[in-house]
Amino acid sequence: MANYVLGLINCFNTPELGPLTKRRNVASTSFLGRYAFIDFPLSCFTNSGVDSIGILCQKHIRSLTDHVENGLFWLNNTKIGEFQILYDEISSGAYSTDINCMLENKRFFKKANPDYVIITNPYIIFNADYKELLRRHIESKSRITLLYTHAKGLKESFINQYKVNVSERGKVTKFELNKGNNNEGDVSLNTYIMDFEMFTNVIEYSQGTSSLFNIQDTLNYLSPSVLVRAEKISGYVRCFDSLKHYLEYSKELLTEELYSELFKDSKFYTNSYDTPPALYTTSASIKNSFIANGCIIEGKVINSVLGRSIHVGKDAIIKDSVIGSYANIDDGARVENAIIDKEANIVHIKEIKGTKENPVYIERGDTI
Amino acid sequence: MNEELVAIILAGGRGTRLQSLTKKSAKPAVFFGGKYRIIDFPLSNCANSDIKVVGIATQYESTTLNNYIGTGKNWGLNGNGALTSILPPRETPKGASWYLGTADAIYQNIDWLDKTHCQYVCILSGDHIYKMDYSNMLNFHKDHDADVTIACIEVDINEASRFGIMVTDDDERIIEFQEKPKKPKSTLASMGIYIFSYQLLRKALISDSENDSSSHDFGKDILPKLLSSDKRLFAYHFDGYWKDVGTVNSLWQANMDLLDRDCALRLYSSKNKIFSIDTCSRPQYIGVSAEVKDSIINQGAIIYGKVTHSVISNEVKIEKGAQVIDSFLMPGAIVKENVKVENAIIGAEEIVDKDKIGSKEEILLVSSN
Repeated sequence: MANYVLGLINCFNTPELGPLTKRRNVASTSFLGRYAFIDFPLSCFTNSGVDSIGILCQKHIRSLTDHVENGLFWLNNTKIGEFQILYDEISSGAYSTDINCMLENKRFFKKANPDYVIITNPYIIFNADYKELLRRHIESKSRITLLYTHAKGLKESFINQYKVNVSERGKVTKFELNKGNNNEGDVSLNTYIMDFEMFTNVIEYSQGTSSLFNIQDTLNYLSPSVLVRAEKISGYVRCFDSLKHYLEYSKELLTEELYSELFKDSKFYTNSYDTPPALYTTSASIKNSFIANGCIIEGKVINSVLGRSIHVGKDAIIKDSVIGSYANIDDGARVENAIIDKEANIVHIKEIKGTKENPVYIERGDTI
Repeated sequence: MNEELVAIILAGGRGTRLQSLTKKSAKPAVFFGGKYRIIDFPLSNCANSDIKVVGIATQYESTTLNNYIGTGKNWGLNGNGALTSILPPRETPKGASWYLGTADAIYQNIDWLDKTHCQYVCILSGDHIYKMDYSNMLNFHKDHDADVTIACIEVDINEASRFGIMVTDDDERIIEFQEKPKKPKSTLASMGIYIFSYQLLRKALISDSENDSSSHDFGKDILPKLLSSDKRLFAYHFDGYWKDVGTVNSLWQANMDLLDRDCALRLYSSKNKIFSIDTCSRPQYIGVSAEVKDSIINQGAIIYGKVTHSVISNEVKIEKGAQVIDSFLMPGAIVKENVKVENAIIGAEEIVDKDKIGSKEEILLVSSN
C-alpha cells in the first residue's frame, strides 16, 4: 500500500519582507505577479502526491485564508486528503512556537495518522520532488532527513538561517547560525522528512525539554545524538528574507534560464480570479517583464513584475519594480526601484524612485 | 429541483465551416480570445443570469467538450441546487437515435426538463460570443405574456439574408418570420436565443416529433408552426455585442474585435465576468527583444518577437525575430525564429516554421491537430 504522507508548511519564524509583511505573512505575499509564496511549497506537495496538508500559522491568518481558501486546489484527492490551517486557538503568548501550535492541534495529527511527515516553509523557494526524496529517505532507513543546499553569497543571503556541517557519510554534524562570516557554505532549507513516530517523539521531547523551543531548536539540541541525514538540493534556491531581496530575486527570475530552473516541468497551482488576458494598447512598450492577466497597459514596463488587473496609463514608465494586483499607475507617472502594494493608486505624485539597495514601498490601497 | 428558468445549450453541431478546427472537437470547444473556449460565454451568461440548472446537448466529437465542462465548477454551476448536465443522445427502450435537429435535441431530453419542474426554458447556442443577462429577457417574456421570446439584433441589410429575419408590430410581437430570406423585409435578426414557456414548448416538440416531414429544427419548423397557429411570439431587442463565430473569418474578426478597448463586449468590465478554466500557466513573460502593441496576451505565453494587433493564448511562444500581425494564436502554438504570421489563425500546439500569410478577405487557417 502507498504511504500516506502529511505535508506541513511552517509559517512560524518566517522573516519579514519589510512593510510588505506588516499585515501578511511571507506565505501569502504576492510572488511573480500571479502567485503567493506559499503556492510553491504547496504545489510541490501536490506534484509529489502528498495526501494531506497542514499550515502552521502564527498570525496574519486573514491574509492566508483569503489566499488558500479551503485548500482544495492543492489536494490530489479531496476525500482522502485533508487541508487545514493549524493555529493556536488560545494564543499561548510567550510559548507561541511551532511546537506549541502542533501540540494545540494534536487531534489533527492523530486523525491524519500519516506514515510520513514533511515539514517545509514558505520563504525558502525551490522546486522539490518529495516523492523521490521520500523514497530515498525510506531507502536510507533514516529517521530524519534534512534538505540543504550549497550556496554562495552567504555574507548577504541566508542571514540568521542555519548553516550545516555535513559528514562524509551524509549526516549533519553541526548546526550554526549564518552570521555572514563566510561567503560559501551549506545551508539548511528548514525542510525535514521524518516518519510519524519520530515526528511525535520530537514534539514530545521538545515540550519536555523547554516550552520555548521551536522545532529547529529541538533538532539542534537533539543532534548529533539523533542522526539527521542530509540531502542536498541543487538548482534554484532562494531565501526571501528582506524587501531588498524580494525585489532583487523577483527581477532575477526574468530570464528564461533561471525561471525554467525553478519551474522545471511542474505545474504550480494558485487560486483563479477569472481575469481576462492582459491587454496592450498601441502606445504600450514592454521589455523583460512578467505580466499577470487582467492588466491594461498603455505605458512602458521594463524589468518589472506586474500582478493582476493593473492599469498602466499613457506615458507612464515602470522600471525595475514589483507592482501589486489592482494598482493603478496613472498617465505620466514614473516608477523606478519601487514596490507598489496591491490596490495602490499612483495619481498625484509623478515620480517614485528608490534604489536597488533601498526600494521605495507604497502601502496597499494608498492614493498618492 | 424547482427552478423557474432552466437553460439548454445546443452544443452538438459539427461546425464544418471552421474546417480543421473542428476535426477533433465540437465548435463550442474551439478556443477564443486568448484564454477561453466559445462555450465559456453562454455558460458564464447562465451563471451571471442566476440560472442554476444548465443542460448541454452534445453530439459531435464531444469528449473535449465533456471533459471541459465537467461538473460546471469553473462557472460556479456546481453550487447548492445547481445542476450541470451533459446531454448526449442515448439509447432508450424505443431504440437509439442521434439528435436529428435542434428541436429533436430538446425533444429527446423532455424527461430531463420535466424533472427540473421548470416554468420556462432558455434555449441557447454554444457558438456565439456575447454577454447577456437572460433574466432581463425572462422579465420581458413575462411582461408580454409571451409564449416564445426570441432575442434579436439589428443587422446590416446586406447581411440580413444570412439570418432568420423578424417582422414585428409596434408591440414587438412577431407577425412574420423569414428564414434566411433572399429579400429580407426587415433588419431584425434572430440570435438563436429563445425563451419558451415550457408546457407550450413541450407540446410543440411532441407534435413536431410525430411529423415525418419535419427537419426538427427550431428556425425551420417549430417557430413557423407556432407563428401560424397564432401563438404569442415576441422579439426581445439586444443592443450589445454579439457575434456568431461559425466561420474562420468570423472567428478571426471576433478575436480582433477584442482589441478595441471600446468593444461593446466589455470583457474587461468586472461586471458579468466570463469564467473559464484556469490553465495553471506560468506568468506571461515578455522578453528584452520583444515588441508588443495593440494585442491581448494570456498567461503562460513567452514573447521574444514582435506582436502587433493580435490575440495570443496561453503557452504560445513567439521566438526572436518572429512577427505576428493581425492574427489569433491558439494555446501552445510556437512561431519559430524570423517567421512571419499575418492575417492568420494558428491552431493549438501548431509549430510554425515558415511564413504564414493570409489576407483580410481570406484569413489563413493553420491547424493540423
